Amino acid sequence: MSGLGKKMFVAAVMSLAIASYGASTSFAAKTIKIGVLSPLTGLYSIVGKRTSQGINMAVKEINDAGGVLGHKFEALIRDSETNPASSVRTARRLILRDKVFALLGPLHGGAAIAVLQESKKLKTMNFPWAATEEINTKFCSRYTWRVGSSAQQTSRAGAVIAHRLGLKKWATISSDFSYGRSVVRQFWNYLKERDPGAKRPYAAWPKLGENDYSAYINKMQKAKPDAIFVGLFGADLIKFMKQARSFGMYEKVKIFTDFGGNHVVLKALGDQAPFGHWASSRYLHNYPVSAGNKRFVDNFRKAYNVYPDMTAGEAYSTVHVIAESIRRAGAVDKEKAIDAMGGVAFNSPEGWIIMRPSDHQGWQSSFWGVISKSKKYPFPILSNIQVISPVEGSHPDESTGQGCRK
Amino acid sequence: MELDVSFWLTQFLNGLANAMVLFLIASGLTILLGVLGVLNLAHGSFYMLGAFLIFSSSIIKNPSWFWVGLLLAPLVVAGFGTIIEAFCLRPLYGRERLYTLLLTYGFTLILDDLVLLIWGRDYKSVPIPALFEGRLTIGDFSYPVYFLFIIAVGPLLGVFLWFILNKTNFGKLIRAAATDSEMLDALGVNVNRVFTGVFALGAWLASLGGILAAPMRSVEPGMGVEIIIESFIVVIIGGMGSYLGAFVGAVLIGMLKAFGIEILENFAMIFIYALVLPILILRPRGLFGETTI
Repeated sequence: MSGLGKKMFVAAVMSLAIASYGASTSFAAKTIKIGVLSPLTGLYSIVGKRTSQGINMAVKEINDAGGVLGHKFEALIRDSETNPASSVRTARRLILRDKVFALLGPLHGGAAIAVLQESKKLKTMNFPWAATEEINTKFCSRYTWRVGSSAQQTSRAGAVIAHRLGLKKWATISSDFSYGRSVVRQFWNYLKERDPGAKRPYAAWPKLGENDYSAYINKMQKAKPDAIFVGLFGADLIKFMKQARSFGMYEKVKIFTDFGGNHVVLKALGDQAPFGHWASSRYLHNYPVSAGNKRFVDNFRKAYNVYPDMTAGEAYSTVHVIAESIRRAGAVDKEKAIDAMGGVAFNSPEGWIIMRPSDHQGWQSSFWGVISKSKKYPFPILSNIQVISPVEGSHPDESTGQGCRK
Repeated sequence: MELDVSFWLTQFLNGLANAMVLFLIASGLTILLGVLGVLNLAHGSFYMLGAFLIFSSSIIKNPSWFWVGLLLAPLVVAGFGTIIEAFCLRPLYGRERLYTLLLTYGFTLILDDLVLLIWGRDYKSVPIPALFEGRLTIGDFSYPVYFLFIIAVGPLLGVFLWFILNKTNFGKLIRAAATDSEMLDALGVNVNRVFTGVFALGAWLASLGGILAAPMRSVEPGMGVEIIIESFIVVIIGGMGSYLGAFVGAVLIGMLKAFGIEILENFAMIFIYALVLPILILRPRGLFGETTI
């Protein structure tokens, strides 16, 4: 037993040493600290890695250009563990002990809603990565903002394309949780609005993290749709695509995937990607073909030797938007920056993003394209890109953001 | 409603394919429980390691990658299992079960992060081996060949296990150790070596499950934790220590999932627990088990 006691003592000392090492990295005056909650471990750690890279790059750019109002930016990146309780604990520590100016993340919808309520209480602006629509509606507050596209934007834009192509009979599949439901609901309601004759004989709601979609695919085939809308994301989307492919779905129906244009997904699927089918991404490394996007992609590749995916692009833009709000406010002051946030415009790699005062959502175009092989890249990309402007109605009505004025 | 034969047949085969992967994992888990009395929570991690190793071999752009991986990866994982058993688990056999539970749980956490360190964080996808691409089509009915391959492998391995346990000397020793390991020790048999062999066999089976599942599923840390829960349900249903029970349990779970979706789509998991509950109450040793857990 004494042997075990000794080992536990060593473990305790080591964990204390690690904890204090983490604490000693914060600096004193003249810095603006940005707290970040991202999944650094576990299933979605690729998102944590890419958001960290996007953030570090933006911070470096801001500091290299002399900082903001004489202040340097500093990012404190912490593991959200994809768990509401520990996300809130880490958020509190970042706000109360590290005195961060703004809080970014987390990704998981449930955790994001818990954290945004906490940051409202502690009067700190919070930019969740989560794209679930409730963030701009029910749970929105003075302190809640989002720069990256929401679930409404890409999925409603998808409905515009679906309507243009005249596809009538649909099946949908998405994970049974808030974001997953929100993506499909927005797509379907908007399509029905545009085309009352559209039919949906089958809607599948597998659990988040489902391994085997074959039973759902079988039911989908039985419903004989013209097209399917897939709201799954991450590893779930990859699993579903591989199984749909082996059942021959690629040849039988048109496939729309809300998340499928994301670079990390297309790269993983490789030759098994659904070529010729439609997908969206909130950021694309190959579009728009602008000097700004090219510079971002080149710098990102130089720094990390990978292409930026959509979470990297969103995280990068978020940091720049915060810097812009401080410049606009003319003072390093949390409340004044929030007062100045509505109407902030940032020329991001994906084009102009304007922070809409009414629902605290970055106003921006959405991109849908056809998954294609490319001579230029060793992985699939989106081509034939359709830009759906926010004016075209891909963006929800302003009145939905009433909660944001609380 | 007219009876749609090809639909129901497809659903049946889906259930079977699912069941065969579960069987490979649950059979190792159940033998381990029966012989060593150890609930190895890290068993799912062997499944995960198998999937990651086949991912590595799939990077070799040569059609034989799948067979090379299928042959070598389980041996690598079995070797790894041997080391874990001999150096970490063995000192804990005499103690309370809690210690082995904690140790094997610790290994699931360590291995989840280890694969992140070795293989990185990118999403990973293993292609279907070229030989099993495409579908078998008969009239209306069309089914992926790879799923049929998985369905064929399950019973083959079942027969292989039966042969090992019933017809080989090693199998006799395993069964003897399960009944009374102290007596076996007294008879001069190196029981430790039997235990190590059983553990390695379990790791071999689990990693094989991971390899077969990889082209149809995703390769990611944490995949082992999920599968271990379902496998444990299979063991409860089938009975601890019975590989026949593991087979029947896995088929039952596979069918309940496939057909449960047809009956109560969003609550298919309920059927699985509805099956486990009466078994735990009325027949706690499981359908084919000899002792209670």
